[in-house]
Amino acid sequence: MRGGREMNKRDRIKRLFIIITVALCVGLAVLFGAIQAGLF
Amino acid sequence: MKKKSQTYLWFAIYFLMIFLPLILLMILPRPAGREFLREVSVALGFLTMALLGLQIIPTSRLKFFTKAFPMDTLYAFHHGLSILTFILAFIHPILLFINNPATLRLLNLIEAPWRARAAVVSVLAMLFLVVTSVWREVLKLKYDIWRWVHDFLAFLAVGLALYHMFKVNHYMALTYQKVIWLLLTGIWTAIILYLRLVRPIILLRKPYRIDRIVEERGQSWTIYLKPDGHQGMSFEAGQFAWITMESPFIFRENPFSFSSSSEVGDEIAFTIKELGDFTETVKEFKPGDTVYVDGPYGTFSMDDHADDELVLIAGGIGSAPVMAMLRTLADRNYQKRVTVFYGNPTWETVIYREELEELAKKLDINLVHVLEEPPEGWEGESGFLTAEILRRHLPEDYRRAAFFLCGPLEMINAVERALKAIDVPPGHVFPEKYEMA
Repeated sequence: MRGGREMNKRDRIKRLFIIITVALCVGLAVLFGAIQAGLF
Repeated sequence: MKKKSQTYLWFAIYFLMIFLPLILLMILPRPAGREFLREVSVALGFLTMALLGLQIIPTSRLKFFTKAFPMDTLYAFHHGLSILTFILAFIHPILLFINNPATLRLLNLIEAPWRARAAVVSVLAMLFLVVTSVWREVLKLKYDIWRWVHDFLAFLAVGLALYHMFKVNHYMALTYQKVIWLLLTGIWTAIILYLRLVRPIILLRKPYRIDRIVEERGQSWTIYLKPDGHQGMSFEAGQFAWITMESPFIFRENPFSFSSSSEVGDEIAFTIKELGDFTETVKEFKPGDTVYVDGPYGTFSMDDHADDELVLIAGGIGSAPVMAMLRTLADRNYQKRVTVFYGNPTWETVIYREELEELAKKLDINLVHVLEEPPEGWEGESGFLTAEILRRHLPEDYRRAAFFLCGPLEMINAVERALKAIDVPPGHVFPEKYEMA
């Protein structure tokens, strides 16, 4: 059932999408800051 | 391309558009670094800008996008990511202030340089965007006024943020950064031009005329439209369209589900319930009036479930797409059993009551009315649609059926819980929630 997967996927994707975006934003910003500040 | 691959492709493009400028900055030549917090702040600023510009995409109704994702999911993305964008925009200066408290003077708009003034106004515009969107109903903002306010604040926030970024001119002095940001701005501008110019022109060239208006029960009206000088549109029963009586350039359109059969080529219908604003004016429409129809949209469709047992659950005006499905099934000479649960406040407000009885003669329908306030002597179901009511009327093999739900948000949430309680696999439940904006 095409849409059947959709409904499960819908909630899962929504949550995952926001979490991944937040994690990547924070992670990349901190990484950039660390690289530029010479912490590595 | 398969739907799944299309979904992943869109995710890849979306993430690329957000993170590419920063990733390029990390791997390509760049100016010497400064303090840690200052650089984290700059990175968050870049991410805020990318997210801010991209917010136009989820709600753009671009067909190649709405085919991959259900509309309410796209709106949920837009809501969630917009709030995230505002939080990042807010943290961006806070980190600068912590790093160097002397930079607090940039908040003095009288003496601050233009790049700082632009940034402050941009963040304030974002704050107003979030407040007016999240609390629109509490603030009693009419939908069409809110849309104009929303568009204005969005342009202000994006425009001023771009000005701020180019004026700061630190990493932006790099040619490849200039190119990539101009490219992204170009993409956002192209989408805006399409939405605000090209699509209205397309709609203007394909008008519809009101053929007749039929008063329904429950303060509802059905408007029947015929294409004027063009072929019309094909849609799937369950889908919806945005309609407007004014110029498509005014952008005062409202979303309504098709209530007509998808098998009737030269006529479409929408049933509209009086709920304030635009919907109150429907009864004043006259045959011959011009209507512009932007659609079809939505993934709420039974067309992929021809082999499944169908269970349709509607509440109030949520019966419009369900009616489109039943009318379509009747036109297709559908022979299988269909179970319909239909919740309404009273017997008198049951929209399509008589037509449903007629349809029951053509289709094998098990129609279950559920009334909040039943009339005296009512022998049917009353109260709200519960797991017990569902279990009483569903066929024995109901766990294999496809459940289509349409109605007010609270009702849909309650029915989803009831279906879960009677072990209907979540993958068999297809909700259409009537609150998106």
